[in-house]
Amino acid sequence: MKTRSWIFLIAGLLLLCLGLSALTLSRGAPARYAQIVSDGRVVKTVDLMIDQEFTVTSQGGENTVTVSDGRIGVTAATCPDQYCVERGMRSGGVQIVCLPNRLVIRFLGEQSVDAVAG
Amino acid sequence: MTRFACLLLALAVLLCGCQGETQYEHTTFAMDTVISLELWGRDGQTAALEIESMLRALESTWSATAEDSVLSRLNRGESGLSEEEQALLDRAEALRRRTGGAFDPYLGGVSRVWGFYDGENQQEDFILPTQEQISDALEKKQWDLGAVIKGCAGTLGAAMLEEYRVERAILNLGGNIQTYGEKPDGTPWQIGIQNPDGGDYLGILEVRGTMAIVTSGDYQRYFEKDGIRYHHILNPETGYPADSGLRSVTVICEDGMTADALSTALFVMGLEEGGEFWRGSDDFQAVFVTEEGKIYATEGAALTGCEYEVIYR
Repeated sequence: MKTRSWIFLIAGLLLLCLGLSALTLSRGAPARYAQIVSDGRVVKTVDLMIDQEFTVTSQGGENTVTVSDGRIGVTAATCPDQYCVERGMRSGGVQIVCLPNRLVIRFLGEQSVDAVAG
Repeated sequence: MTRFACLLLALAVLLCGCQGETQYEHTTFAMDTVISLELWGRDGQTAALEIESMLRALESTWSATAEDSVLSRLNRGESGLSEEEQALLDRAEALRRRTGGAFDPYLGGVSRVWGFYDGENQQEDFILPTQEQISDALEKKQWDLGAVIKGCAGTLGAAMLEEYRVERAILNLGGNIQTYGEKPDGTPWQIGIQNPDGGDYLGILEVRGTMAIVTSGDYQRYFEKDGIRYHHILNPETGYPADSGLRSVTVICEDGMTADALSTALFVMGLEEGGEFWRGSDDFQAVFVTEEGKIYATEGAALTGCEYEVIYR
């Protein structure tokens, strides 16, 4: 094989490595999303930078979810205990759970931790 | 040219290897809480489903609310325990003795009169139990394994993973974290500690290998009346919510049931006594969060991302 082919090959490999590492590193970027899980299934992934409000109907009842200023929370719910509403608006940490209605809001894009104890 | 083709082929094979292991995520509801299982490895899905059925079996055996659970029958004085069930009760009793009664598995009746079972008391119309009700309930000594069963389940789940092609996993049982295995890049697991005031986590615990991380906090389950918070961690001596100046205690321990019981016990003991208890033990580390928002971590707890004081031996 000619020297030039080798140079091309090595340059190509280097580029590939760079590309791959860029791809891996970009996964650690602080993209802030939340996943809405209803009855164990992901029904929606929301961007916390986009203010919005919607209602999720689960097995146990309805929850109104509000996104504003990078935070997300349950603002109204048909559940008897209202624990989910009391959790308030959150930007991360432990997931927000409505046990009676079987709704979970979990945070994505927090690459710095694998789980939150609490 | 043949050599070039060979190189390309080798590269292709290598790249396929880079695709990484499969990750499987499973969210479900069991044991009165939300369960998230995250598993890496080819058998992730099978293992997750097996763990889920184990959790459901534990739940139906030890539920404090289901009339026909083994626990309810035990509390009604009906006998008939399997060897395995008796062994679990024995371990709970051993943990009570170890903690000098700060962890108490006989608070079932007290939790009931406070209304910590299936929302008998709702937030708006919460009625304080009377002193008489509490004293009666304390005397009756009804079993309740709520303070240890999730931790116990985490360790059981991790043990099950040994039999599957699962390299590593995080079992999150309603905030009780069980890690399994090591991350491929050799870095420790990063486990956040929930801020009792809500929002983000307070700090990050670095944990290696298979370990249980359990937090007991006054923010997890509570009622409020006239500006006073009545939380679910009861002082076994008084039958009232423990008032030891702490907001939460996190325990890191190889055994989940021990971690679960100790997080409750240390919360009841408070910072001073809890620190002393840690000095007399060698099987766990702990992080205390006080009412003033100060954080204290025992010497061996690898806590980062926050300001805290170290408790030395």
